[in-house]
Amino acid sequence: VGAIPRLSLCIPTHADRSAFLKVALASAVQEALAHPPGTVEVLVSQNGVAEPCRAMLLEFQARHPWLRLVGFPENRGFDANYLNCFLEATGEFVWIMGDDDMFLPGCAARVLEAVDAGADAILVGAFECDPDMKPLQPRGWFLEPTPATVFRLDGPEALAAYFRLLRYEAGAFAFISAAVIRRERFLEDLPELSSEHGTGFIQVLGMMRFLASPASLHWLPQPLFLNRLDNDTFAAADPWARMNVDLTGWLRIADACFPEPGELREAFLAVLRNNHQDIRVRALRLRAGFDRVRWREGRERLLAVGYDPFLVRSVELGHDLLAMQVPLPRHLDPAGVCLADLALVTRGARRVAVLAEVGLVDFLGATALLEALRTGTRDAAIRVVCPPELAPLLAGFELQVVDRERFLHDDDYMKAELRAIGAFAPDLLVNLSRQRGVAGDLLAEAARAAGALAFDDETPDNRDEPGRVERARPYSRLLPRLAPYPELAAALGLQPAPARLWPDPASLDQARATFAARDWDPGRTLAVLGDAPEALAKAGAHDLAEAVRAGWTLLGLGGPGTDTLLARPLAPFGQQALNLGASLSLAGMAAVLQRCGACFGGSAAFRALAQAAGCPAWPGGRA
Amino acid sequence: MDPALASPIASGRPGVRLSICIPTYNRSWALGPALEAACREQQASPPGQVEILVSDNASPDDTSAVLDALERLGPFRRQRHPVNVGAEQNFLSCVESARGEFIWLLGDDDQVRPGAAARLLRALDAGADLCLFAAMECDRQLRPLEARSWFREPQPETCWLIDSPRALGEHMDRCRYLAGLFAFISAMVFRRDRFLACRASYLRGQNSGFAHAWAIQDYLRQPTRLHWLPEPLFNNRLGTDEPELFWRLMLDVDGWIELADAFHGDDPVLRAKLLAVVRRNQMDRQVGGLRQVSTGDDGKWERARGQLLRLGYPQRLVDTVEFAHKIFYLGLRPGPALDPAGLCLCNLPVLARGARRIALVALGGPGDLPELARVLAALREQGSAERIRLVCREDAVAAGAGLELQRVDRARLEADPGCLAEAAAALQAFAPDLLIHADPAASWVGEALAAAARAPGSLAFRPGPEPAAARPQAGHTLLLEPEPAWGAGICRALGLRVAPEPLEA
Repeated sequence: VGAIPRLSLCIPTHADRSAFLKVALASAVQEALAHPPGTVEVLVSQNGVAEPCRAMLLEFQARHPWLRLVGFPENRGFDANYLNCFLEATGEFVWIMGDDDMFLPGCAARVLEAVDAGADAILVGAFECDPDMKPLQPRGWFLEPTPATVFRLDGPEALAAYFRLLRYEAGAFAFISAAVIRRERFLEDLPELSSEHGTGFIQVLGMMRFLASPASLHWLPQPLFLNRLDNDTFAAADPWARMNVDLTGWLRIADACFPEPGELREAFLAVLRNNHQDIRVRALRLRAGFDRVRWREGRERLLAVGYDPFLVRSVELGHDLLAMQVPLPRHLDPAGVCLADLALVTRGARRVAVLAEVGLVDFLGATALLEALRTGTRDAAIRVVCPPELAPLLAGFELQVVDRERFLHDDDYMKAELRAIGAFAPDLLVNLSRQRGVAGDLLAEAARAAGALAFDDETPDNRDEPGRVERARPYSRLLPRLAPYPELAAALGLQPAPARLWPDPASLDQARATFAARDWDPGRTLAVLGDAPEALAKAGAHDLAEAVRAGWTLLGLGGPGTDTLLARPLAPFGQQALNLGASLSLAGMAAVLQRCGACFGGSAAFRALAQAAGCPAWPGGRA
Repeated sequence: MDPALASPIASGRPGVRLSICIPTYNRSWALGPALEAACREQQASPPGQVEILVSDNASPDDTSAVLDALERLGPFRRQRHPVNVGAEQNFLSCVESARGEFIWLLGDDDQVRPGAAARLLRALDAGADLCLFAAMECDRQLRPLEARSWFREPQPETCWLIDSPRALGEHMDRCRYLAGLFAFISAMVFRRDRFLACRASYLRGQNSGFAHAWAIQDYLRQPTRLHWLPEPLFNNRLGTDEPELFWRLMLDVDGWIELADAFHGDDPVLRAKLLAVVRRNQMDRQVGGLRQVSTGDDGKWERARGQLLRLGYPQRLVDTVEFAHKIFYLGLRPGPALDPAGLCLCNLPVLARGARRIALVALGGPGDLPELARVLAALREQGSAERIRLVCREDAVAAGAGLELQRVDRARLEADPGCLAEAAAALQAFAPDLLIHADPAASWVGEALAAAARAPGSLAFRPGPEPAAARPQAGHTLLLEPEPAWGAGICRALGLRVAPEPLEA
C-alpha cells in the first residue's frame, strides 16, 4: 500500500440531497473497493448538510470506515466547497463528482491508465440520463465526434486551437464531473475565493491557470459517469439568474485569464456561445419578459461575450413584435415588411420627420443634418416638428409647430399633435434633442416610423430612473448622448453637408431691401454683432476702422439693448455704418447674415447663427 | 351506486334548491379541500336546500379511498362510472343525477368560498334563471392571488333580462373573458331542467371541451334573467391545466367558430360580437401562441392562419406575427449588407426606392423579355440604385443593356452543383439590398440563387406544384401570384408606377 492514494473521488454536497447523494456515494465506494485499499480515496465535502443527510453519511461511514467526511457546518457556497475537495484530498489526482451524478463501474481504472500514460488532466465523456437516471445517450464535448486524443497544450496557440474544437463548456472544465485533475499542480496556483470570481465557475478559473503552463490533456470519449439531466434546481428557481450567471461568470474568467483581445480570448468566449448555440439570445430575451431594463443588461452581456450584434438586434425586434405586441408602423404593409437598416430606410424614405424640440444653439448645430436629409433623400417630404421660435428659420420645410409647455399641460393639444405626426406616417424619424424629453419620446412613439434615430438620454444620475428605458422603445438606434451632430448624418448613411438656415421670404426681402436702399455691396459688408460688449470694446475700434479703410461698410446687429451698445463703436463711421440694433427678428438677422461678407464680435450663440448662415468671421471674408 | 341514482331523470325532487356537483377524474389530491368547503356550505344553509354530489369518472387513482375517508365531513352523494365516459358525459350525468332545481358544476380542483351558497340562494330567490359570478384566482396551494371578473369594466351586481339578440349582443360586448359566455363551468349556476332540455346542443358541442357553453347558448334562446354576482364565490386553482399545445389551442379556435356558426350563423352582428370575446379572452395572444406552437410545421400554421382570420383577427396582425416569427424563431437574418446597429424595419416600396444594389434573377427565356424590361425601366426611373445586376441566360442579355450582367447557363446550373455554387457565390458577393426573382415559373435553380443572395428584401412568384422538399428555402419577403403581365405585379408590389405598355426589350 503506497503512501498516498493515486486517485481521490470527491463529492461536494449541501443541504439535504440524500436521495441523489446516496447513489453517487455508493458508486464511488464501489470504485474504491475495486482497487487495493489505499489506492482510491473517497471523500464527501459537506456545505451545511442537513441532519437526515448527515445521518445517511454516518451510516455509510460506519460500513466503510475509510470514507472521509469533511466540510463546513454552514453553507459557504459552491466555490468554497469545490476548493475544499482539493484541499482535503490526498490523492495524486482528484475527480470531483456532482452529487446528483454517478461514477460508472471501471471508471477509476480507465482514468488511472491515462495517468500512467502521463496525463496532467483528463476529460471524460458522460452518459446522459433522465431525472430518474434512466440512460438517454452518451455525450462528448466536442463539435465533431472525437476519438481518444492526447492534447499537448503548450502555449496560447495550442490552447486556442483546443477551444475551437469544443461544442460544450464542459470541454473547458465547466462541468466538474467530467474532469480529473492532478492535485498538486492545481494547488500550486489555487484561485483565491473572492466575490469577483464567485458565481460558481471557480473550477474553470482554476483550470485556466493550470493550463497557463504546458500540460498534457487526455480526452477519454468513453462515458465514465452518469449525468442526471434536468436537475438544475437553481435554473428551475430562477432561469434568468441562471443564464446571467453563466454569461457573467464566463466573461469574468475571460477578463481574468485572457484579458488581451485576440484569438485566445475569442476562442474561449466562442465555447460559451457554442454551448447553447443561438438559443441563448432568444431564451434570454424571453426570460427578460416585459422588463426592458433587465433585457438591456442581458443584451450588454450577450454583446460582451461576442454574440453577433445582428442576431441580438433581430431577436430583439422579433420579440418586440411577437411577444411585446409593439405594432408595426401602420403604413408598412405587413406582407412586404422586411429587415433593413437606417441607411437603407433613409435612402428610400417617402416621408421623414425631424423632431427639433431644441434651443437655438442646439438647433444651429443640427441644421447640417437637415441639409444632409434635404439633399440626400430622394424627393422625400421632410417635416420638422419645432417650437414657434424656430419656425421662421425653416422656410420650405413642412412644419409642425409644437408649443412644448402647452403640449405637456394640455391633454387635447397633446393628442392633436400626436395624431398629426401619426397621420404624417414618416418612414424615418430623427430626434435632434440630446435630452430627448417626454414630449419628443411621445411624438416619436406616435409617429411609429420604420426607422428612428435619437440620442441616448442616459446619464450616471438617471440610469435607473423608472420608465426611462421604456421611453426609448420607438427608436431603432440611440447614439451616445454627447456624440457630435455629424454622427447623426453618418448613422443615416448620409454625406456630410454644411450648416444652413432657411429664413422666411419676408425676411429675405427685407434684407435685400436694406442693402439696396444704401446701395451697399452685401459681400463687402461686415456684420458687427453687438451682443458681447467686451468683444467689441477690446479690439473693436481698431478692426472696424481697418475694415472701413479697406472699403467695407458696417452693419450693427444684436438682440434687445444692443442698439446703445453698438452706437459708440459705429459712431465714427458715419454713412459707412448702419446700426440696426435689436430691430430684426431672428430670421431677419439670419437673412442679413446670409448676405454679409463677414461678421465681427458676438457671443458664441450669435457666432453660431452667423456660421449657420454661411457668414465667415473677420478678419477674412467670403471668397 | 346509490339506489336513488338508478333512475336519474326522475331524481329532480322538490325541496333541494341547489346541487353542488363535483365531477372528478384522477385528482384525489384535490378532493379534500373541495369537499370540505362544499360540506361547510351545505351545513350553513337551511336543511335540505343544498345537496352535494361527487361523480367519479372511473379514476384509476385512489379517489374511491379518499372519498371514503371524506365521508366524515358530512352527507354527500357519490356516484362512480364503471368506465371512463369522458368529461362531458360525466358532467351531464351530474346534472341528470342531481336533485336540485339549480346546478353548480364545480371543477374538481376548484373550491367553494365561505358564504357562497347563501349568496346564491338569495339570488335564486330573487328570480334568477342563470347566475354568473367572479372567481378568486389562487395558486396551486389555493392561496388567493386576485379576484377575477369576466367583464371589461368593473360591473356591480346586476340582473339582466336576456330576451332578444340585441340584449345578448350587449352582454357579449361586456365580456372580457369567455367565462362571461359560460365557458367556465365553475363560474355559473343554471336551472337543471332547462339545461337538460338543451341536451341536443350539449351533445353537439361535446368535442369542443366546452359543451356547457353550447348548452347555455341554447338555454338563452328563452328569455333569461341573468344575475351577475361580483363577489368571488369560488377559489380557482391556477396552473393545473395541461400545457397549451397546438391541438389544444386549435380545439378552442375551431370550437368557438363552430359554436358561433351554429347559433349565430344567420346573424353576422351577433356572430362577430361573440368572436370578439374569443379574441379578447386571449388578449390577442392567440395568434402568437399558435404561430409559436406550429414552428416547423407549415401545414399546421396554414390551418391555424385560416381559422384565425375566420375568428376575425385582422390580416395585418396575422401577417405581423408571421413576420416576427420568422425573425424570432426561424432566425431570419439578411446578409452582411446591413448595419446591425441601425437595424430596423422597412417594406418593399421603401426598399425599392432606397436600395443601393438590386439584383434580378431572370432565368426564363426570351419570352419573358417584355415584362422584364417593364420592371427594369421602373426601377431605373424611380429607384436610386447605384448598381443593378441582371442574372440571366445568354439569350436574354438584350434586356440588360447598360446594367451589370451575370450570364449563366441554366442547364449547367441545374446539372452541376459546382457551377451553381459559383454563381451563387458571385451573387452573394454582390450583396443586393433587394432581390427580385423575376421568373413567373419560379424555377428551383433561380430560388437557389435567390437564397444565396441573402438580400434584406426579396420578391418571387409563388411556385407551382413542384415537390416542396426539393425547393431551397429563400425566405422571401413576399410571394406574388403569377399573372400574364407579371412585370406589372412586381412593380405594384414594389410601389413603383407601372409603365402602361411593356417597353421594347
